[in-house]
Amino acid sequence: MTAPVSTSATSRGPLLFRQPGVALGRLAISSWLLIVFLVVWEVWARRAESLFIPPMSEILSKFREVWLSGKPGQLFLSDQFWSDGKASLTRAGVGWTLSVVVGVVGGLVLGRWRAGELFFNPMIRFGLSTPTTILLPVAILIFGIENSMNIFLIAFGGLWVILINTIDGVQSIHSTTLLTARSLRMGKIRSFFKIFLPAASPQIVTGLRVSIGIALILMVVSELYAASEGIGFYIIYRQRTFRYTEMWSAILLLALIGVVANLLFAAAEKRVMRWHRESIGGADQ
Amino acid sequence: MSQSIVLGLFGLASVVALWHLAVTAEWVSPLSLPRPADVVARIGDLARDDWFRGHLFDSLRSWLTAMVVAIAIAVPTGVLVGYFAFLYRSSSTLVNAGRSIPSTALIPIAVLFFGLEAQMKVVVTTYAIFWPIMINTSYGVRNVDRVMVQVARSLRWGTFTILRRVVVPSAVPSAATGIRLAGGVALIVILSSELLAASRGLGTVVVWYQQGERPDYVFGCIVIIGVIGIGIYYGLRWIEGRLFPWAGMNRRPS
Repeated sequence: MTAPVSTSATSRGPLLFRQPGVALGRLAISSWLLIVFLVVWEVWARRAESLFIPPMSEILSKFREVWLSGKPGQLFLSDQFWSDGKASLTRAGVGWTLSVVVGVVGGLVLGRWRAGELFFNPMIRFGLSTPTTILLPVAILIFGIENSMNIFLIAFGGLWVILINTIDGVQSIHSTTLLTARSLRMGKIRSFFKIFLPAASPQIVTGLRVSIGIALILMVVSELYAASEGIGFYIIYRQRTFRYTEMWSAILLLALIGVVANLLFAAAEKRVMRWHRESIGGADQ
Repeated sequence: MSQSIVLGLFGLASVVALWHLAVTAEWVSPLSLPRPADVVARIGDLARDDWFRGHLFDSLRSWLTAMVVAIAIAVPTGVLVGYFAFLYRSSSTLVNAGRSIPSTALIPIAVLFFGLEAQMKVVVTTYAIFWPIMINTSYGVRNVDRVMVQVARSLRWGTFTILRRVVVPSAVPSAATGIRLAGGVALIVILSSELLAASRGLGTVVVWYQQGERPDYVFGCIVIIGVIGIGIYYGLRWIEGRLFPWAGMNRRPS
């Protein structure tokens, strides 16, 4: 019970089963404020009897009814989730993946190719600074109200921050590292994978983290604006038909999706960064 | 330097030329992509139009209000949360949940409470940018040199003095990064709420022209908004350099 915190943090395996006391204690410390918030919401909503803000308990039970009433074979997720939720997640996933591939590959190339970077610099600045949502009306004109419209918008919005961070990461590589690669006669392709990608990964990861948030924002906006399915569509449709508890349940779902995405990303980041410290961190000193 | 400008202009010119070619050769329908020359002409028209400028100022005013309100709330919160370890640990789950909600999902709710006026935009935007500013400030505070704080304690400075003279100045670079990030996010959220619901602002102008099937005006608006975005980015960087010259010291010149 009184084991030092560092031991449980570095040891492998599920934390909860190793030292239930420590883990529960930490969970209590880190979440009591959230619980207070939810309780205050419940009490306030019951007293105020606001039409727009239902009590938390009602939102939670509606959440289970709408999104979590599926059979075990469907991972307990309801049909509603497998239509609207899946539609949204697919769009965000495909769009984000596109922006990652184009952004990282393009950034690696432009980071090493100075003239190319200067050539594209005005477009990158413009893309980075233009709020992508304003392209929604144009995207609808070009793609129609189709999945490709949402995917285009999500990919476009996330691309620039990944691109600029990758370029920055490649350009900040220590010149000794580059000289070493050259003296080892590494080929272009090999040095991209063995040198540039790992050395630039801290900045790339920063870009990816920001782009996840942007992707989710754009996923929701594009569905609120024009879609025939998706979580955003669900929200706007329930709002217009005055079913506010159901609307809140979908917002709760979005919050959970955001939390899960951030947690998954943090876990992946931890792995990448460990690998980065081992392969590059030692070489820099 | 001059090489970078020449290459940049060359790049810009190539894109415009390609765009012009794509329209005149009718690779794309002129209804979805107007000619660059037309777009430039429309930008001139819009700049002289009082009606358009009214909407423009409305968006900028909402942006500024949200930024000021968010900074006023988020920076002090971030300092406290970063300085007191108990607060940091206690709030971590709440902060993670709050910042994970895609802020645009709150637009339909904000409409219920605040209607279609500027207040709705400002509230949603303030919520959206509170998180990056607060989180970056608290990171900055947590990375303050512990030795400096201990020296200040040994001089028997009070907590408030330590915060004001040691912690806050060291946290400024990180907070400024958060504020710069927030400037871009704020623009996204304001324009989103205008596209979806608001009664005034640049987003409503774009929707209006789109429904009137005037893509030349739509693209003109988009270029103007892009220029505003660039202006906001470099403006914030300039202010950062003037107010907190020590903020960029550890950063690579770029």
